[in-house]
Amino acid sequence: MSAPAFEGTAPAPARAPALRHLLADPLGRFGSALVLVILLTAVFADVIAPYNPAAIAIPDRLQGPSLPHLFGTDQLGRDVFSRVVLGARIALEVALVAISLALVLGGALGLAAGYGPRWLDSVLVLVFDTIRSFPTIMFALALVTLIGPSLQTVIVIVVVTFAPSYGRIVRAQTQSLKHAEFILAERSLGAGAARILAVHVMPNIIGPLFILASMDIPVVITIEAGLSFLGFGVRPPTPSWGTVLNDGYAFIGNTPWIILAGGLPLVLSTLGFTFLGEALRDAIDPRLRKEI
Amino acid sequence: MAPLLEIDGLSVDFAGSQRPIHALRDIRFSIERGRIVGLVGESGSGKSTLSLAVLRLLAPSARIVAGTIRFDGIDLFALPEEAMRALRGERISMVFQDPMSTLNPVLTIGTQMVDVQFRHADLARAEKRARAIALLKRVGIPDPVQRIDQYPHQFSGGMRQRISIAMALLSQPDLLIADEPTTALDVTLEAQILDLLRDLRRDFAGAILLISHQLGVVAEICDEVVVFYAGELVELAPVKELFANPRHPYTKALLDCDPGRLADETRTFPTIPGRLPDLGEARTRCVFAARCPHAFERCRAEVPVVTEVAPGHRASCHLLGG
Repeated sequence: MSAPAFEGTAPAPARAPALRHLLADPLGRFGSALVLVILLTAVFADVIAPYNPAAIAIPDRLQGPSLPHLFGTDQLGRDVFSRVVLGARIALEVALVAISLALVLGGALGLAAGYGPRWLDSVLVLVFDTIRSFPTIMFALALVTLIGPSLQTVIVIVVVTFAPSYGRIVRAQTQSLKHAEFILAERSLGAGAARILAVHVMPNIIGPLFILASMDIPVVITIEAGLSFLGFGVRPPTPSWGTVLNDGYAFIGNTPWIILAGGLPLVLSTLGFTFLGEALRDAIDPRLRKEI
Repeated sequence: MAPLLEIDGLSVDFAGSQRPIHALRDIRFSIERGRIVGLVGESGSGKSTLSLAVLRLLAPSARIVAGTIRFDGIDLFALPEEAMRALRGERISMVFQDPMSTLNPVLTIGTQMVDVQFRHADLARAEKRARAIALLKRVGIPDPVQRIDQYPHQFSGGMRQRISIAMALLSQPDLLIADEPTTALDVTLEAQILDLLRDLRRDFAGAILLISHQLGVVAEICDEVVVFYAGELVELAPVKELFANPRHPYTKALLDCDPGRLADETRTFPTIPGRLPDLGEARTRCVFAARCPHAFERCRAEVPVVTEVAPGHRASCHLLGG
């Protein structure tokens, strides 16, 4: 009776044990599903959104939720559902672009600090710690004042505030690997610094770094929404969850659905990415992996 | 013809908290092509420092105070870093002590063995892979075609050491430095690795510097033996001569302590009384004087000179009339 079942399940562990562990965890399943929904929404935003998110229709302003307007309309009569759907695209775009740039920049500087000469390490750590000592919001305000609010400004703010954290982690990992015997063995076989970093150090630290980055995505989404809410992020009429919140904020007394429509996706994406990140960490780190 | 490796008057210091630690003092010996030279000494006697000095991979706290190392006529200390790096892995290779930590845990051995041939831009990836497989087969890895895509943790300790040796031999080096290659392995594996090294010498024209603290290992496969004590070379001789006729009191004491040479009824292991001298001290007397059963006035007042007691047999001891 059990023989066919064994045949069916046996090859799976060899292929992708991490994925199997991820999906075996209920939080992992929930997180993956949420993230998948958000990703699909962002990718197909144009198709999903029933209206142009910037189309103003004053006669239809501040309508409650209805079939044509699922989340109602805002003070300019714009369809809130369309704005939330397209806001997902902005949120993910900022998060993915900014985190990727921060990973590349922080990673490169971290490798240099960890493997390079002592003076370079001191200089880079000083830079990292100086940036990290500023509250993000203060830094953001200063930068917005200097270069003006825009999507690019938000990305620059995120890259500059996140790169030092990645830099410090990569530096610490590189320093501990630098004295590993296999690195000495590679050097004894003639490998240069670039080869050692690219071929031997990077693969050893990339896994944990990606998990960390996936858990930072909701933080960046929140930063983007927060800055947009304050008017320091994307400019109207570009739809963002932050600007939707800002529009709804003024009318919270009589039309609370706008605030809810802008806030719910924030909550769900934060939950989704956090659960996914935690489940990924458990799935990839065998020490935390629960036997199933 | 000049010897393959010629170490002349090498002294290496490590930066200590108050004063420098003298890790190696005035080391002088050479290795001819095609020979296996054993380097014996206790922990801390400078064996590994010497091997890293040859590769110029000493820690930044180490300083070469004096001396030269010539490899095939090239002054290694005068070489620019780029040229030195070109020698490493290409003409001088090293196998390390602990096979559990000398391979990158996150890459398959195939990836590592292909990558290490980075100098051969003329070879396609498939050819590099084929060379790696041929070498794995040569060092006795069963099923190399399948196993090349496995990770280090899927191999046993002895197999990993064979893989390390295969990696070191990929470029057919002239000199292979093996730093205690069998210390982390059990006795049967040790015998296999030693057999492998002996066979390898037949195939490749180079020399092997085998570092060990086990006299049995050295007796088995070496042609010549160099004995280190506290950073100094105390005796050097062809292997048979050294075991039959040790001239330095330290070598004698070391041989008396070798478990392999003990009589069966011995109930306690013999030891050499006393402990290693302070390596921070200036060199004013024989390093072994404090522990030597034959020490006399002169041993505590004067550094002994190296005396040639027989052809190819040198020892540094006042008793030899130096």
